Amino acid sequence: MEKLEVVKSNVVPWLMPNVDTDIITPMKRILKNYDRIQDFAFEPYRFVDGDGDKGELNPDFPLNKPEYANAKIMITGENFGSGSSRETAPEAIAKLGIRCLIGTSFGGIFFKNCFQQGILPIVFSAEDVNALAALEPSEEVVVDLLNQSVTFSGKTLPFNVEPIRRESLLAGLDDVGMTLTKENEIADFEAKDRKARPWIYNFH
Amino acid sequence: MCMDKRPLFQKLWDLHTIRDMGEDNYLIAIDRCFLHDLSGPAALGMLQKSRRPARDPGRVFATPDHLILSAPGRTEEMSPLSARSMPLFRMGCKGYGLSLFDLDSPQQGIVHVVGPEQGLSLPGMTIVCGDSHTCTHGALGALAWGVGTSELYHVLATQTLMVKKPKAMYIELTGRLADDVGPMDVMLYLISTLGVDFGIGFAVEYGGELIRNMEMEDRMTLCNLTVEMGSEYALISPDEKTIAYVKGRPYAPKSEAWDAFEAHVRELPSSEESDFDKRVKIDVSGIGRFVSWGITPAHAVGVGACVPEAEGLDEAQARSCKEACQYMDLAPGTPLSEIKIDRVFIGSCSNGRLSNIRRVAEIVEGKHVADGVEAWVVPGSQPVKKAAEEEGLDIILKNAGFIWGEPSCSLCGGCNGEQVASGKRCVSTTNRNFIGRQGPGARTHLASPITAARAALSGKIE
Ligand code: SF4
Repeated sequence: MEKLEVVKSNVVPWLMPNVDTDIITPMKRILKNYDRIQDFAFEPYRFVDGDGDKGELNPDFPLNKPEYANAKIMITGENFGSGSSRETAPEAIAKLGIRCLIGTSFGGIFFKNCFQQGILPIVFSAEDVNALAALEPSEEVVVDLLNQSVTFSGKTLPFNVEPIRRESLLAGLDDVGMTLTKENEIADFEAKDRKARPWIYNFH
Repeated sequence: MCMDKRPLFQKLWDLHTIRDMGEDNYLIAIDRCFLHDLSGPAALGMLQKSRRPARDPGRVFATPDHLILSAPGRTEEMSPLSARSMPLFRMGCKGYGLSLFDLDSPQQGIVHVVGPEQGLSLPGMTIVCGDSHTCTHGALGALAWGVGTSELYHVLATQTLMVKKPKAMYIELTGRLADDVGPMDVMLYLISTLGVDFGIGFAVEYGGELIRNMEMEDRMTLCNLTVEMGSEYALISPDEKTIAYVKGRPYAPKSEAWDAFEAHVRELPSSEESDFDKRVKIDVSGIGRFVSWGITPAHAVGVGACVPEAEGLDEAQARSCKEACQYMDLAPGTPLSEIKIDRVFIGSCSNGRLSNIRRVAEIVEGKHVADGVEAWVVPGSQPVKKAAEEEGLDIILKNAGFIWGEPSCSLCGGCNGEQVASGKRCVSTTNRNFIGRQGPGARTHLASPITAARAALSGKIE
């Protein structure tokens, strides 16, 4: 997983509400095209007739517009990432090169899963989200995780992120990677515990 | 020495804390991890993709239950889902050296039946599984909870989990139950009076006279249903019944290890003085049998009562009642005894144990399932099935017109394709009556094995 400290780019706005994980990564694509999951992300909206097999991109869908081709920040609608817990949803978004999502609300499990894929989700008020979405494609936004702030149009907004989540993004580690940095403590615990409760370890 | 005022929950938490990570997050050591055929292969897939090893394969046990069929004579090929998942599951378990109770194993069964039965779930342990009803194992005095697929992967890779600490609640249950009233009725009563969100944020410990008198398998039913009240963790302090239940089980500690283990277990129980964040006391004497009429376990009333009127409910409750009536095709005020049922399902991790099946056999012996009703009894595990057959219960059930199935989750969630047809009504000893839970359009009435057995005979809920 790539580290995340500061993200600088223009923002791609898509304020569609209730974009669920099945829209982000349709089940059919997880089963059939997992190796290219990002190519089918948002399939119902991204392709003409919602059909990725025809392969014709919908020119009105923001991610398809050339001016947003290098955007690393996406501005999202209410309740983005609702629905099932499938982790392919943030995975596909990360593989599209998006490192930061800014919206008014996110699906709970999706929000947690974002951190596992190196994506920083930020919750802002509707007013700020709308202001970000209204930016010209030429304007640059700076998301600074070190200082926990978003800067655009000359103003700076602070945001909150759980300290452990912040730490893992800064280190570029998923939860397992983070935990394994505590390997010594785990090993110490187990060595002591093995004496206190041997039946947990030797029962075969 | 001064008195230890920590409740069981706190003792278990302390015992397994590797590190306090701040903001109520803790790195917790996981003693036992169970995998089943639905989330298991997915978690193993994640581990594979990460190229990390399994940290302690000896502490992980797997068994197929969700996707395999329960139909008599089942094979894995008979369900397209298990035909796809079993080879992956088998390969993953073999690759990482995890114990798998495969389809032909005498230990196979529903993961929450298998754990306690094999002595793999022990008092004092932390136990996780990719299924929300893992709280069942809390009946033994273990801290057990359900986790998602990525958390399962985390456990496989590190044998730990980062967990937000819940608060501790004590529910003291007093009173005695009538002979035909059991833990399923108690839980439907509690959930319908306290609500589906009563336990959110809490680890609930049950105690009191009712629990002390309750047998282990009934305690498991009680703990199993606790997640439907919003609490991910259910606990019962271990007592003599717990110790007697565990002793001699295949994977339970033996000889010297047993003595140390037993001494440890005796230190765990909460006491009268324990500091809980919340205490409630509920008298359940006099409650009758309960049955659900709607689409959450809180939509439950006493057998013999009517579908409730919306009067006097707040707006949200009234809306949910209306939606329930619509889905269930019931009008407020309808006596439940007038509803005609199509199917009966007795089984699942709530009520698929030997004592449940014995009760059913006692009721239906010499009688016959009503015309037009399809009734199944699905034992929760191979040992349950074998024991029941040794007692001749299968014969009694089959003579009474029941189908005697193979151990599986079966109709509980319908993941394996065995479902209740749309618009059909099923009295079920399972734990969830959500919209579409037993199949699209299926109408579920949750009830105890006794109520389900009576319903099978009469075709009515009575
Ligand atoms: S029997 Fe039902 S609730 Fe229990 S583990 Fe299986 S699907 Fe889940």
